[in-house]
Amino acid sequence: MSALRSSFTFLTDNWRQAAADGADAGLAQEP
Amino acid sequence: MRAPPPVVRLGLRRLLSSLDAAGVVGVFCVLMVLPSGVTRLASSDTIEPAGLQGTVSVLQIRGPSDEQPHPVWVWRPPGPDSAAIPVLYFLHGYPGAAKDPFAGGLARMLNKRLQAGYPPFVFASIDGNGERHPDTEWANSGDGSELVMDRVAEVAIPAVEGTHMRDAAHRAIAGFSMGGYGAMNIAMHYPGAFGQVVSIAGYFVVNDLSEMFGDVPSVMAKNTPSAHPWQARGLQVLLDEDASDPYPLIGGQAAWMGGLLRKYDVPVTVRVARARTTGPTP
Repeated sequence: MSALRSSFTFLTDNWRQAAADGADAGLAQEP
Repeated sequence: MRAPPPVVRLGLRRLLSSLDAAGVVGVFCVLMVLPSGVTRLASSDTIEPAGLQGTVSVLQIRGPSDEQPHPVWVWRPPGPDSAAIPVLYFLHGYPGAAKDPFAGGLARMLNKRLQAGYPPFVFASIDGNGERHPDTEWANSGDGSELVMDRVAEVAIPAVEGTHMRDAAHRAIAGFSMGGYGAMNIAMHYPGAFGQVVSIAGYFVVNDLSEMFGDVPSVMAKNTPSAHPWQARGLQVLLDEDASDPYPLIGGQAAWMGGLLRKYDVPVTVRVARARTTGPTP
C-alpha cells in the first residue's frame, strides 16, 4: 500500500503540472 | 396568586431592561459585521475540510467475452463529476480481486489525502479474473475467447466515466505485479487513451501460465512490452519495485525496462525501494 500511496504523489504532481501548463498556454494565447 | 414583594419586582424590572439593552447592542453588532446584501451562510452551507470524504460504489460490468458480471470498485470524491477530475484505473495482481485495495484501507487513505488538500481524483479498481483462464495477465487471449484487456478499455472506462469521458491527460492506469504488467501492456495497446502508467512490482515479459497466448509467437510478441518500448511514447511512466522482491520474474525488471524506455525518450521514473513488504504472488 505504501507503493500505491507514493504513486499517488507522482500522478498528482503530473496532473498539477499539466493543469499549470494548460493554464499558462491559455494565458499565452490571450490577446 | 399573591404579587411578588417590591424588592423582587424591582429586580425583575432591572433584568428586563438589561436584556433589552443587550438585544439592541447585539443587533447593532450584526449590522456592523455583515455588509448589506451579504447573507450569513447556514452551517450546512459551509464545507469543513476535515469532514470531506469520498463515496465507494461497486459497478458490475461485462466485457465482450464475459458471460458473468465482473465488479469495478470505485472511489469518487464528493461533488459533481467532471471530465476535469482525473481517473486512475487500478489492476490487481494474481491471485487477486477488484476489492483488494479497498480491503487494505484505500478509501481511508484517499479520504485523508482529500482532507489534507490534495487535488481529487477518481480511483477505479477493476476485476481482471477470467472465466476460462484463471491467470489472465489482463490480456486478450490469442483465440479471442477471453478478452480481459477489452473489458478494461472498452467497458470499464465508459462505465466509470459515463458522460464525462476523460482525455489522456486526465486518465492513468496502474497495477501491482500481474497488474503492473497489464497496465503497461494495455497502455501500449491503446495509444492516446492514458497519459500516465504506474507499474508496481511489475514485469515486462510474457509470463503466460494459463496459456492465454497459446504459445503463438506473434501474439506473445504483441504482449511483450519490453519488445516494443517505443510504444510507450506519449506516456509518463513510474516503475516501482522492491529491492528485496523474492520473485525472479520481477527483480530487476523496473531498472531494465526503465533503460529501454529512456532509449526512446519516454519520460520514466524508476524507484527501487528497500525492504518493503511484498504482496501476493505475480
